[in-house]
Amino acid sequence: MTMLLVEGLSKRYRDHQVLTEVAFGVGRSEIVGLVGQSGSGKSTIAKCILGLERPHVGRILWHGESLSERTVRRRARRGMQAVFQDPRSSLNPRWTVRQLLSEPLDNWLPAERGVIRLARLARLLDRVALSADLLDRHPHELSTGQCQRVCIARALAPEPDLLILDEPLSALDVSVQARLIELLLDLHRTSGISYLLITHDFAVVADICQRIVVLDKGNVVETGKVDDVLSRPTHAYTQALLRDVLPMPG
Amino acid sequence: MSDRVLHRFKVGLRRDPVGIVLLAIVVAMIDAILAAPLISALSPVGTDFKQVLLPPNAVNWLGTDDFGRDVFTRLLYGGRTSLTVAGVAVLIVMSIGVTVGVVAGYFGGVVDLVLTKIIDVLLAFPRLVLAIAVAALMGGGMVPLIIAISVVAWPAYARIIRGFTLQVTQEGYVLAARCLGTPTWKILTRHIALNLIGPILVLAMLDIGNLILAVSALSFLGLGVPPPAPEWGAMLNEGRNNMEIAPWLVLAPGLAIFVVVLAANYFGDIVRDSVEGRPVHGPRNWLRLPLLGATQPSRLAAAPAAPHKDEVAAPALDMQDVCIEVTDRRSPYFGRRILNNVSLRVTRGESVGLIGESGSGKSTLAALSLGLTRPPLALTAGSASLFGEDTAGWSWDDWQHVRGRSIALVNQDPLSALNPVLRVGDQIGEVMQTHLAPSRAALEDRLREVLDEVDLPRRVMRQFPHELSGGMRQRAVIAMAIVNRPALLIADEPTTALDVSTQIRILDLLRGLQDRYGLALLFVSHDLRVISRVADRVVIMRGGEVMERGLTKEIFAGATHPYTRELIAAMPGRRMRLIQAAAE
Amino acid sequence: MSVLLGITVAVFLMLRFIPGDPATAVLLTMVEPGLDSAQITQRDIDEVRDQMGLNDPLPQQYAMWLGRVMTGNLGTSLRSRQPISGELAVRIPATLKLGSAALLVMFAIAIPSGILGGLYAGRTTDHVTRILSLIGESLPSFFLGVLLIYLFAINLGWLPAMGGRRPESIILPAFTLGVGIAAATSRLLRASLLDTLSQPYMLMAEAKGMKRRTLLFRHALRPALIPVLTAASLVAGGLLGGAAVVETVFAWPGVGRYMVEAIAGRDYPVIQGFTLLMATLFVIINFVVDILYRLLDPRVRVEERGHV
Repeated sequence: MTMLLVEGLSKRYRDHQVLTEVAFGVGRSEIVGLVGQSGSGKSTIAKCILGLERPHVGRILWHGESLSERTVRRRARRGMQAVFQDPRSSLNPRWTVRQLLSEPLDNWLPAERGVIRLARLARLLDRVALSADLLDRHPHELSTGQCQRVCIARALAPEPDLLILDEPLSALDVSVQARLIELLLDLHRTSGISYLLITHDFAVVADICQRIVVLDKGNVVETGKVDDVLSRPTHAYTQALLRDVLPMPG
Repeated sequence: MSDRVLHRFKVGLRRDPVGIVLLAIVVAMIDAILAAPLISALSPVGTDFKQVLLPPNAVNWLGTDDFGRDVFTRLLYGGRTSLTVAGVAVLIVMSIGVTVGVVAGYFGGVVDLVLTKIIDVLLAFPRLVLAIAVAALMGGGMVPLIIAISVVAWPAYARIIRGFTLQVTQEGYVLAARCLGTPTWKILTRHIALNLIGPILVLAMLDIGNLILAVSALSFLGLGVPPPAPEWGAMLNEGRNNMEIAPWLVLAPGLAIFVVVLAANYFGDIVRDSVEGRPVHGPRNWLRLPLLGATQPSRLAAAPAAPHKDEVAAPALDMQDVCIEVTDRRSPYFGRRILNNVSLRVTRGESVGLIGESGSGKSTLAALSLGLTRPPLALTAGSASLFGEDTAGWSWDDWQHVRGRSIALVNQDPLSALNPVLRVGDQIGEVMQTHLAPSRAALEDRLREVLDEVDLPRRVMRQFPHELSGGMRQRAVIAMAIVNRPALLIADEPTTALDVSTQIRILDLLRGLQDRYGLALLFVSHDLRVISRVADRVVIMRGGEVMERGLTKEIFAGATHPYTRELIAAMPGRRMRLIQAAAE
Repeated sequence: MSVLLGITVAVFLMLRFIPGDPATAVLLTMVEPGLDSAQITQRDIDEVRDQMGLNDPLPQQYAMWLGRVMTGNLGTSLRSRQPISGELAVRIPATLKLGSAALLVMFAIAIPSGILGGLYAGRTTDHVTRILSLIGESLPSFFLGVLLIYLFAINLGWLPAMGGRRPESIILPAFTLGVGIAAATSRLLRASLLDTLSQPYMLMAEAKGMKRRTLLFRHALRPALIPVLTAASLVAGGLLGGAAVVETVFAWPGVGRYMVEAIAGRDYPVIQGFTLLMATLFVIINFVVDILYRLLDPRVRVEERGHV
């Protein structure tokens, strides 16, 4: 059974149709790239899946159960987590890393305290290759790349099956991006976690993803294996997009 | 409230002698008001017709009124009423305002709609008019006064707090908290309320003075506590009739209100500055010079403004060992070196790519080439020349004649680079008008021409920036830059904010213009793929220093510096190239 | 429109919230003040209640009242027995005259001081304008008015202290009313100008080689004035509310003073009528400001069309 299934998702803001019958799925241990230009509605899809916005029409199934059910939503809350584009604004500036990472733990493991909690925090930081010395720092004392790692660690805390990554690299420098891509691939290899990677960059999708969903003005125009879509795009929009991707120099 | 805010508040106060004096006066006044019976043995309401309208003396420090009552004593007791009413009203107003504002802002929907409507109706009355009406209909007195003030004041707070809440609700960390499964009440208290404390405190401090003024105005109009009980506004009203012979009757309560309100407003300012932080630096330096005076171009300006053929030998831009440091002592980064011995040369008609990640100093370098280096930064060593002229001695006016004419800028975010209230055509046209003073026909000809050059339809001339798409805006900015056919164009991350498809078109446009007009181009970016498309030569910077430089082809084929190699390796797209190569 | 309706409901309900029975209150104030509440019989009260329509259900009372208000009938003053709308109409021109004069005073003070404060932020000029506007904001208008009377009318004898018969009588009240609202506007303009000056498009305009004058007046000031305009409703509110106080101080023959006299005479219908008039005026002003705002700020026009 597909872990996450989006069916016939439509959404409009006033008279502006943002999404039209969007459908795709993310399987267990699968990495899916959702590609579209700005205004294609890709972030709205993420918000609908995460329950931050409500679709007008359509269903979102989590392990075969509709997310509009309260109990399913509660379970899904733990099973899928998100990392957003701007790591700085995703972290409450007044909190320390310890507090930031404790927020999900307090929600899901409220009884845990003391040494056990500390060990868990250290393990979380270790998974994203950060030192435990950072626990008492504030976000403004960290680099942007470190902030994004903290965001990832926080999203991993409830031990989710799926991470929704909404343009997680756009705010970062190239060298930091590369290291973060390595980290994401590592996590996937070791824990088999699924990703839904939302981005505008085909190059990044090719480096990370297995399957690809191309979105244009709220419509899914093409889906398929990364190799197939990149080598033999069928839809004119995908072809045009791929033509516009800047080639690697050298 | 963080320690940082408290610290800033203390520092702000310590630097402010007026603030300290005001604080001392107000603390003394409040102490005296609280301890009124201890300070004055006289009664605030006891009349004595033998002592009517006495001027200030040893017993009656501020004289007596027309009933022979001691003004000083009445002032003390009157202050109790005024400040109690204002204090209680602030508490009521804050609690209602914050609750309604947060509830309406966070939950939205019907709740928000109803609450907003109520707020709208109450705000549709002029504040003081409604307060007067409510107090008048309730018949005056302390409790009606408090009610009148509160009814009138809470909607404004609720609206502002609602706005803040809406804003905070859309913050990334609140969205993140919702995804993490944090319960609503925890989000409201731990994320939203905590971040609202600052603005709420500022609002309260800024408005407490207004509330005191409103209270005294109402009691001046006879809507306060009933006589003979003293109240500042009412005392002033009573004193008016005898103002000619006994001015102290007016001056004493008037000054009392004034000082308290002044102190409240003053502290409001200080609190706001410590919560929001005040920018250390004022506006740019063009303001510091005579604004409307005749600005004669100095000897330097004329020459580089119109580069002639005989000067072609000199490079368009030539920087020799420039160092830029933070030279403002007030800055926390004082002494930090942003650029360290950087040399860079852009010859006529050449396209140079400047590559660097954040913090590499690449944008500082771009600003320097336009003479836009601003405090806290300053050039501390080296020289920057434009078209063979050393710019060291150039005044703002010299620069003004060169910018937009011989050297132009295209920067990252085209929306914020265009003035939102001016039409695009006017913004392009003014560059030509300022520098070349063309005839109307010539101007329109050139405008049409330049729009064609950047592939924009004519209609954008009459449009405003927000009506254009991102790509069109950037084309408009490029049109602004090239309308006077400059010899050097500085492009600072011009495609970073754009979509992939738009990006490649803008790059090709810039490259095309550069080829066609022999434009010298300095292209700044962090993206090697972007640079490789436009630049003949590249310069790689890191931490304010040049790491490597060379022809674009050679660098990408075989970089020698490890940092350059790391950057090249970090570029995404390797697998994509393999896939596509295999397909062909 | 719904706001206007809301206003009428609020104003209508006001009279119902007078402590005690409105009919008793009316009886007590209508008849000679010497009358004791003990002397009022239940029959008198019932009669008045009936006359005032107080026995009808509330929505019906409201509908009746609204119908009368729509035709310009605001009821009769309890003291003068004259129609309130007529009494207000006579006094409105004086209040409008004072308000416009005060507005001029405000512009004359606020615009230059706001610009100077913004341009020279953090420097001596800024400190001086900041302190002056703090003082202006903190001076109660009635205190300032009394001080001005004392200085210019009583001591120097340059200007008349009271009334509105002579043309120069308007100087002191207009100044008093203008100063209070000027301070807030000046501070707002300063902040708004500072904000504009730090915008990227100012840097861009400088990089385009614009002259100082163009930079200031065309690029910085035009966007900076927009937030000031949106705060115009604050100014208007200050004017309308402040008018009651200032008119009282200077015995200016406007609606504000009429209202204050009504308070002393417990003339509730007049208070109600005045409040309704002021609120309506305020709504109209806000409406005009809104239109102006739309004309001046091109960004709003698009949002109206439902852009996201």
